[in-house]
Amino acid sequence: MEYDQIIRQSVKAFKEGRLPEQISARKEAGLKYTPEYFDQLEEDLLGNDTTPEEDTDEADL
Amino acid sequence: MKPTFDGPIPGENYTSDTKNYPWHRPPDITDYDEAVEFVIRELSTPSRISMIYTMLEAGQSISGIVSIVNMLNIGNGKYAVDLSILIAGPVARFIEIAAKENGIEAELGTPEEEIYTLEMFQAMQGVLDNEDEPPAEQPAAPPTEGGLMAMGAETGTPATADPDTQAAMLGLNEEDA
Repeated sequence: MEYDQIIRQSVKAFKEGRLPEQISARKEAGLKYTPEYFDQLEEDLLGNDTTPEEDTDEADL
Repeated sequence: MKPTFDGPIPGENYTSDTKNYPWHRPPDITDYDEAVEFVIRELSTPSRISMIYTMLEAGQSISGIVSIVNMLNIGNGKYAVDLSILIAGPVARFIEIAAKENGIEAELGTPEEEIYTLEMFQAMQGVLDNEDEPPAEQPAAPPTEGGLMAMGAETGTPATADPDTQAAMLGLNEEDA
């Protein structure tokens, strides 16, 4: 198996919320960059982009 | 033919310093969070992130970019190969979010399963027929025998011009003759 294939598998697993066992064990001890962290980051960054526009539209009306 | 001895002699590897390259030494970063943070900080610089956006717009997948970033950092001795596999997911998610934030459509590059078709193999070999293109011209048949002076003999073309043509070529018209 080539390195690129392993990277693709790793990316796919992380996207689906799966972590390697050793990393999952550390999750309880306080792991920062988890799948949930990036989901929240995405929601904060991309979700906040739409909210002010909606607010301004409502304010204009 | 004389034998050449251009390969390394036995034991030559012991004559060089084993710490010449960064990947010969222990990596700088061994912690998961620390490695992710390092890559995110590195990719957040204007020059790097603009390069990544350009690669994404050119059709490069996010997984491909992660591979390139990881290989560079492994080569520079920042972290080891096993840690690079572990942090591939977070780095890919960071790039994905950054691309979405800037309105760039990016593919994660994680297809379910590659389906290999006959057309794919033909395309890889460069033998895929293109119906729009006209067929290539057949090369002219080589002359059979006789050389340059015998050319035209087989096709019925006279080897020499008729007398009138020869006279015209020599500048002799009927009045002069």
